[in-house]
Amino acid sequence: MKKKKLIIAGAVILIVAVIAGFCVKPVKQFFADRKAAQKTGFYMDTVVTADITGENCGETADAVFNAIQVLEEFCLSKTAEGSDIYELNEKGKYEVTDSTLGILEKSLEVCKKSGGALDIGIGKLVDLWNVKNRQTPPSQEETNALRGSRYEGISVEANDVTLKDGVKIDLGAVGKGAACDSARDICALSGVKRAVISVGGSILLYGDGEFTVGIASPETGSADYIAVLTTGAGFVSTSGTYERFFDYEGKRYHHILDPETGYPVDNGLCSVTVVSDSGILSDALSTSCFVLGLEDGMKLCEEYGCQAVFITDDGKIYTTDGIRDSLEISDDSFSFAD
Amino acid sequence: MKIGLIKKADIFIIAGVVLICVLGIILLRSGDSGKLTAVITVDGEVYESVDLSKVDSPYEITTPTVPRTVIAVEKNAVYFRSSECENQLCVKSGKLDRGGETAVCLPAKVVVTVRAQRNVDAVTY
Repeated sequence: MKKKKLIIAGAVILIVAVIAGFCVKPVKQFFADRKAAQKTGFYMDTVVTADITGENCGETADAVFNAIQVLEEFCLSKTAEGSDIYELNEKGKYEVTDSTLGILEKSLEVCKKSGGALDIGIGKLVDLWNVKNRQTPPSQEETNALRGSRYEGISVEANDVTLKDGVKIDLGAVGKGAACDSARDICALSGVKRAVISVGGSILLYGDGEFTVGIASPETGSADYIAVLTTGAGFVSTSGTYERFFDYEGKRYHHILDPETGYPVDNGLCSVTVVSDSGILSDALSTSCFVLGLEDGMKLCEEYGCQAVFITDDGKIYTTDGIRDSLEISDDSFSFAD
Repeated sequence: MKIGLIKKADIFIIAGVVLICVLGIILLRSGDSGKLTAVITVDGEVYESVDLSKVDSPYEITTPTVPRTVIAVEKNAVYFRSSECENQLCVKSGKLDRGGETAVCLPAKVVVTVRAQRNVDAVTY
């Protein structure tokens, strides 16, 4: 009788132990999934924020920030001595790293496809407008003098990049998106569950399920949003007139330049948001579409299979067909155009 | 009194445990939903974190930065009241009162973000 009881007790303990054994992993996972890290930093002349959940979230946030810093300092920066773009702009010919090469090639593709609406070769024009504390626009003579310097003056052969026609490269329109691409690679390697990373308003959404992204108010930028986009994993980028600007004689001069005129784009748009499965593409297209305007911008997005939201100065919102139902307007002074 | 294998006392214990679990779940779920937290970071480090839903009377936080910024904290809202920076973009940002909203003073490296259970994951700008 006693023996029987012992056997039963032993069996019960064994079963419990086996069940517990099977539970360890899911229980560990349960707690790991609930770990969260938030981090803020300053790179690429803007704010970078990371909001990551899952195992190794803290280490992943650190790795993402390091990667963005490396991308800036060794590849894309126009001002950091020793970076690929700095050296290329100084010397006119330079052998760039593979990272920089990939970003240049993708950018040049969009430059071509957008008919020059995106132009990474107008570094001198960008510098002319970016003079510190500028409160008056440059003269027509000054901008005209830089007209011949366009992306067509950039040629790439293997890793050797050559600049002609006085071209200087500026990757301001694609760098933040490229940084989001690097961030995604790191998240995928580290196995975190979910990550939302913003590089100056260009956003990586990583993980399963849905994400909500506010589209900045044209009045205040990131401090307020006028509509909410619900979307899955991917990248979201916005170009808007409110980000950097000065007012002169009742007119707003913002930072999105029309390479054709040499002046800020003035076509009735105040922001364009692009959703894509590539960070660099979402960034490049948001600028391209802003410069192209509503009609041609829509066409370019369709060509790339990306979704977009266009907001006009008079508060009308236009979207590509695939995104309309995912966008909810939260500010009464804005409405869908149709 | 016996009901099969289970004693009356057991039923009370089981009922009690179930009740505590249910109450616990309800409390955990409801506790956070209305909470609005302002997180102020200086050069990437958290400088102050404020539960905005519990602010009774408004006050100011001055950051030890160059340029210096003054952040106003109110019930369910936070904003840059003033800044010694040149462009004043942070002050022009206005009030933050929904989760996901962010205002930045780049020259001072001060970031104010509002977090909430609801609202958006991020704002694109």
